[in-house]
Amino acid sequence: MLIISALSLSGGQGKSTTILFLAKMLAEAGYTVLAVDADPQGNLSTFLQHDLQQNEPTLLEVVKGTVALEDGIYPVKGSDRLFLIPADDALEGLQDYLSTSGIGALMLKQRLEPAMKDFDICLIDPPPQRFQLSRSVIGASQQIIIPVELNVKGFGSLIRTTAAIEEFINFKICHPEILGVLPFRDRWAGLNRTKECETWLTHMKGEMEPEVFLPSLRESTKIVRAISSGLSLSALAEPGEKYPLDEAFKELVQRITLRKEAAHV
Amino acid sequence: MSDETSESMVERIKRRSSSSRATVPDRSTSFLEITEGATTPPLASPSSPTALPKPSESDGLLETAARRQIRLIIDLDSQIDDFCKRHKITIETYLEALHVTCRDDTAILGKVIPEAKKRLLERKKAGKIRRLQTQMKQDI
Repeated sequence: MLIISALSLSGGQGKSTTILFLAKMLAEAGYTVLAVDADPQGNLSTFLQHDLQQNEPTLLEVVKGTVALEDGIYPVKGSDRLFLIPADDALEGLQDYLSTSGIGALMLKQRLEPAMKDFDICLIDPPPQRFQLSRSVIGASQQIIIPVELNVKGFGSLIRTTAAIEEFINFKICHPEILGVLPFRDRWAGLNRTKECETWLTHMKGEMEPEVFLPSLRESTKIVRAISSGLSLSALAEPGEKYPLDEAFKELVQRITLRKEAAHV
Repeated sequence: MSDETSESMVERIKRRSSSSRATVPDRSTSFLEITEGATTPPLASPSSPTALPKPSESDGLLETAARRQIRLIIDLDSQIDDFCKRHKITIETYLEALHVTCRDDTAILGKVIPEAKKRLLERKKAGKIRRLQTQMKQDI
């Protein structure tokens, strides 16, 4: 199982949206996907239309080890290959548990271990803050996608996120690879990108290798529609569309496929 | 892709019914109570910042059962409410006190239990009539 997270240490950067669309696309491509909602806001659980009961196990109980991993995994409606470990507000209680554990940063990785042979890909949606839970997500990740808004907040998030990842690598806790930087809310006016978005994209590209950047996700009401209707971005695409919204996700699927194939060689 | 290797856990999860899944105690999603298991103590009242009881001191404290909903006949509901307000007690403590006072008094219980049974029959009868009225409305 390849463990991938969408990490961006600021709110509203597109983490849950990235995991949602990527999970659906990978499942449609034939991979068995485990989506992990590691954000107490529970947006991914909501987006995947999971109706969580208060006495049903979530990521909280899985990480604390009070239930087996299998008890915290639920099939996602409408898909044979997509599964979810949900979360709700109570996940905040995990912060203290992880802080007092000597292996907080590696706890999630250890808990996911029993699923390594059963799922092809695990996609984790972490919280936006520099919480203990975010450390545990980095500690578990082999690949990291960094979604960022094309504005000053997104730029700040990119800097903070890459610095956090480097710290993990320097301390030899883990060695995640940056799978891609996904620019979100890219605004265009007619044939031109807005000045603000162009400026911040240029700044961002000055910080990292250009090839790590994925095609940007243009600001569109279709994204909101796809989330609320439960459809994939491809399903809302119109024939002959010049800037298909699913382009970035197709590129991500390609990059993931390459890494899966390399792992088999 | 893991068509062969995914048989075990994935297939078990697909086959699983909700009744066979482990359950957990209801999670508290309260913003204030979320500090369960915290290393820092919960906030004390401003007047007694260090007055939190030690675990041994709180052992003998009263514990209440899970909240239960009770519905009373309208006029008695307001009568009991007024009575409790007048005497500065709560409906819960009034009910508890009535029970502990009456439970060993056979003379009083001889009146209370038949009265309670009569009321139960009246409620059941009223429930049946209300159900029939609802069905009739739907049929129409």
